Amino acid sequence: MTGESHRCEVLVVGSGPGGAVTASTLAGAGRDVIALEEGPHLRLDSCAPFSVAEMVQKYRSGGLNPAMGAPKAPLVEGCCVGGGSEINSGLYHRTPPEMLALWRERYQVRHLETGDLLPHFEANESALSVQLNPGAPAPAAVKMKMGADRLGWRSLEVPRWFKYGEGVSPNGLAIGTRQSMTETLIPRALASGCRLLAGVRADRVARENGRWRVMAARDGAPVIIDADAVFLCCGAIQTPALLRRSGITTNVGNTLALHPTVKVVAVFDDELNGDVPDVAAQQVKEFAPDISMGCSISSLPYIALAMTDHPDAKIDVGRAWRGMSIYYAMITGPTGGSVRNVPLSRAPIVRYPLEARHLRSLSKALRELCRLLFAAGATHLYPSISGFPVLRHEDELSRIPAELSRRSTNLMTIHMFSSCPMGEARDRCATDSFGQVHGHRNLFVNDAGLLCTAPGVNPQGSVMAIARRNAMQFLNSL
Amino acid sequence: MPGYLENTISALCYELAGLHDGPPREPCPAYNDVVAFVAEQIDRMPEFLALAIRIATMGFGASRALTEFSFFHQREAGRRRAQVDAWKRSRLGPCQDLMRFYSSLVVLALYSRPGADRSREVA
Repeated sequence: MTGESHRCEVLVVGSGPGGAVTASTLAGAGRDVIALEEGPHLRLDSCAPFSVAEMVQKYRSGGLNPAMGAPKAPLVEGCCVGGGSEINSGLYHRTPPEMLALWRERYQVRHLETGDLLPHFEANESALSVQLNPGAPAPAAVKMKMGADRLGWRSLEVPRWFKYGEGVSPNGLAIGTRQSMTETLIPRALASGCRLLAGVRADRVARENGRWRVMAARDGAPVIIDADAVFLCCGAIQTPALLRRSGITTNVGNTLALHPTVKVVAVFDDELNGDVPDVAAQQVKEFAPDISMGCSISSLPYIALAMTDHPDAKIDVGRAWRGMSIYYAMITGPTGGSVRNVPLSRAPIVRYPLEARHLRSLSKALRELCRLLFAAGATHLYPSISGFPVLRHEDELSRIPAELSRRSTNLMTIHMFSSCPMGEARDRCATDSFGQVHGHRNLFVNDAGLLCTAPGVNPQGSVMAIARRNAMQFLNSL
Repeated sequence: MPGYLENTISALCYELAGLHDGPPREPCPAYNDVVAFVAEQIDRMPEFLALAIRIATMGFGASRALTEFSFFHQREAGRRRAQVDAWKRSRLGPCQDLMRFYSSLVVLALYSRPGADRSREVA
């Protein structure tokens, strides 16, 4: 089969937030860069956001790739140019200072003070138009804030990468366009001369004749790329899988962390959902960093899906869904997961076992979320536990077991990290403080896998700032 | 064997779609788009998971064959429903997981159809 070969100074594998920042930073500095992406190059508006069409077009494995454990947790990864930024809500946090302190202390990460990251946070926030919503908040966010205020809990509106300025809807919601890597940093990288190879899957990386060679494939045809340096930015699942396929296994794929998440469908007397799914950007941080709460996408298909846990509920979702909203509570999960390749399979197997104490934390998270939603005026609550009875009053919260059932609890997560932790502690870190794989000169990891532990907040602000910091360090070292 | 698997997936999707699509209607509405979505999603799954789902589905289709003298897809609606209910309430985790897997995909496809939103209809 006829193949193709390429040569460049720096190869960036993966084009999500980590890869797009890396490619645009390096190409912008005049380096000869190729960005490789397994998925297709699609416009942000190639399909409706949060739709089944989006699952088909842009999710890895159609969104059907669980982390094995008890309970299992479906993992959602993007597989397209722009990666996860094309399919997520664009909620943005800077890394909490206490997390940076933990990573410096336990993993011996150098130059990771808030001040070190500040210029990178600011540059990325400017590039992605990170800002608060200038219009009226989404109704689901109003409910969450109301519940938090009544309980005296700390809550905040979270900024998003969103470009407003397109007017205001009749109900006061600001109109604008969600940002993503294909809207911002990918075009910037291409304008700087970066070459983008979409639809090409990297299989292995190897050192040959003083350079790095990546063996890849496009529709089964071989693609060979030689580069002086390689940045792996395929995300916390695919990067360790690629390294392990390449025989690089030390501290790789052994410490995956997630934010295990439980959900609740809340029913209110008033209408919350419009025709277009909106992201309600309110979060409750009263129990941070251990527990965070927020609003999920509440489209009709997602609400109907959530209600499959409650087959006995006498509720016609097709009629009632506009008064229903999905909320979540997530815990800052342990670094106890693993990523391993499976013979004859292109996809790795991901394991994420939870201990009893984590199920107790999830129970507390669920109970407090339900308490908040009742305070917000919810009339019925349906937790994501198969067959669990509907909750109608705060007095019924005692029905939630102190430790959630492994069998019937249905978790999910969209946040994955820590599979290739950075730092100078060689006994636990896969890379040095700036992402260079220990013992492998000019081979870097530059994605969510570097985060030493689960950060307890939406991670893309951290991923992008650290990726930019590492790319700048690389440029300075040349 | 592929024909048997396709028939089982199709029959199971029709059964679950009927379950989640309001009261039974005559004639039964067409759910071929739902079946196609579910089959395509299985094809998109990691190979080792897709294989496990296919094997489990074939097991589902053949269970009760000795007592019913037919495969799942060959039975009439009421007997199909009984088997789906039995697997949903099974004490065996993999049986529940398989029904949950199919139910999730069927519901996603079903409620993404034009017309699924009946919130503006007059009761």
